[in-house]
Amino acid sequence: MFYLFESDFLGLIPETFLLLGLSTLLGYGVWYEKGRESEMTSHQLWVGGLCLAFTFILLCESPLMNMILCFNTLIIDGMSAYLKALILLSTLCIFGLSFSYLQQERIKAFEYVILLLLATLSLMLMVSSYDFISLYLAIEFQSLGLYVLAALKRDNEYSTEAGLKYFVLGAFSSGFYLFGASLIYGLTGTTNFEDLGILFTGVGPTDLFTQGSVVVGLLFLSVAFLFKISAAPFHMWSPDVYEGAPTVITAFFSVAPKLALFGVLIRVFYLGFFDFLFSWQQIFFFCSLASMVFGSFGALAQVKIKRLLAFSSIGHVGYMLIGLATGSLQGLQGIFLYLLIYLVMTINAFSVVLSLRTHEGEPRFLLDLKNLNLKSPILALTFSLTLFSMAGIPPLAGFLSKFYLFFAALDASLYSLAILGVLSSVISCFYYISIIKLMYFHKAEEVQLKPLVGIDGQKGFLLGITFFGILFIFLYPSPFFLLSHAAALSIS
Amino acid sequence: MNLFLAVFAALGISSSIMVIRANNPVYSVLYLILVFVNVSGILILQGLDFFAMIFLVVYVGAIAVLFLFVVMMLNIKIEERQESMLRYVPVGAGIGLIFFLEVIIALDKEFVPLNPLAFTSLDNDSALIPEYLHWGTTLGQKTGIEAIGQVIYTYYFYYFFMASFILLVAMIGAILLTLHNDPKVKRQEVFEQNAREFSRTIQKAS
Repeated sequence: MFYLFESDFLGLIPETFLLLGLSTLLGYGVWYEKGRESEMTSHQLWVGGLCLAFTFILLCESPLMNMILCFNTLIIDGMSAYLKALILLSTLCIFGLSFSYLQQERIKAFEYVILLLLATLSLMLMVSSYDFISLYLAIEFQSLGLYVLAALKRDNEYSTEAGLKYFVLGAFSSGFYLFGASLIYGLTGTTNFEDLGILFTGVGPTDLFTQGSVVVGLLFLSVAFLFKISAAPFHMWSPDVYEGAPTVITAFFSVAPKLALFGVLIRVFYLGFFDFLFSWQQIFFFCSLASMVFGSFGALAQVKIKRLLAFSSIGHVGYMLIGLATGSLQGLQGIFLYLLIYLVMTINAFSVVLSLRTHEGEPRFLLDLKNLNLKSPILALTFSLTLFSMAGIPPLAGFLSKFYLFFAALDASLYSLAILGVLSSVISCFYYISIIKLMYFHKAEEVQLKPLVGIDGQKGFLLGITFFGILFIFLYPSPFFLLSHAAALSIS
Repeated sequence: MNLFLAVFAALGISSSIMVIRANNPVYSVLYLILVFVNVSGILILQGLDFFAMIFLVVYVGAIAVLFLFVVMMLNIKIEERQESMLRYVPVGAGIGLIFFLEVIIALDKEFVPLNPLAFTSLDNDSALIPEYLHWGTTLGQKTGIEAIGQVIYTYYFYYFFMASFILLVAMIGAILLTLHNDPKVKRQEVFEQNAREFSRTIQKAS
């Protein structure tokens, strides 16, 4: 007998495992919650983390490297495996950060864990999407979970505002996506990326009219994606959302969706529309430039820590868009490397910010970092080296990723992007260094330093391991080069 | 047919303008319902009867009525928006014009231009003119619902799964955001309600 989907579920084993695990956790939470709310989140975090770890193992040990699944709606290849692994790692890190945070903020909802796991599942499916419809469904799946997580602290006005703003703008950008996708479907009659790629082969610059109308669709698609990764002309929502959402959720927002969305951008534009390279290259060129400039100048004016980190992530998105604009495999490798190092740096920065808590509550302003050196010299050292790494100072990890992207840009003769990238990274150095100045070189006028709350084991572990990564990736980068190279080769 | 399309489209567009221009929010929602009705009329003209009905049921039956409840409960005052109109005209009109022009460019284009020769002689041997299959002649007839059912439960079962996941997330999210585990919140006591007797509930206060 002939089965249509005979081996498809073998390829989906990691996702299926994650889904079953989270359903079990949901059932456990619902049945055993009453009266045990405070322990429940901790149980769920441990078991959820275990579930993620097993999914990670299943993903890495999967013998199926290249496969198209479920009637051309999903694909497994090197890129999807790499990005899925990074997404799982980032969610694990967020779980590690949540242990103490949920207790301190008295968030007792175990649904937090379930929603994070569901968001991870949706991000994994998003990276694998091979069709406009499956991509749209995955995007909606992911963003619905994230809207709820942003509004998690429903008593807090900032948090509800963040959730609402994220919801409205997310729905808006989904509308753009649907409009662009339906234009392209109307023109070509297919929604599959590979079919589009085959159909467009060699057709790009020949016919002005068809090209013009495909490019309109492309424009809407790219606007939607740029909204979602908060690249510059469409970045206005991100500082507000990042500030309002609970801090661990902010950390999640600034890492995991970006990993998946860059995968999606690469899949759509490199697989489906590569023959329109010279059309979309300009869009990404402009947005990358604008993100770098807005990211660095906008950050100068900020007084709150989370807003500053939001602007810094806008800047990082700008650097990654350089790699997308190159249209070369080297650029893709640069993006993958950058995503890995960005993950490490962001997790480190957020774990430092979460460790700055005093007994009065969470620090919100940059001035709370004042004289951190006297309060906790090790934290101050970690944070300043992370900031140096984000700015791209040579012996640290951030330099490696930036330099690789700039070389890719030079090879693709995007000289202006490379030069302006270096210049804006100099400007971003300025505000990173001003924070370091605040931490170290401020006169301790009032000596009433409030002591920090102790750091728990999970956060300490994360701080240590990410700090180690930032310090030493530069010394032995070849495994990461190889990984990102393998991921990039799957697109060729 | 074209006349109906024109009527539905014109009514739809003008009532969607009224949605954002009406002073009373309740009127806005009513105009929104009118938009949905017109759009489902257009869908029927396209032969998509199932989608038209689903559109009416979901958007008018559920969403617009929900909007109406929310708007009526919020006690919003009727706003004066005489001064707010002109502020947004330059930017809005600029963006709208760009949007409109882009859509005009994209409209009415086909990626593979229809070749009239291909239809007159399907069995041409010329290397220059590619062969086209006239799909219209090969198709079988099915109703909309049947066709959807045949693909969505078989080939595209993944989409169906994903839709159910989205509903799961929405359900968890709604519970998380609205359920208060506070003893002060009044709850429904099902047993008490069922055990209540009519004769004891209403009493004459003499």
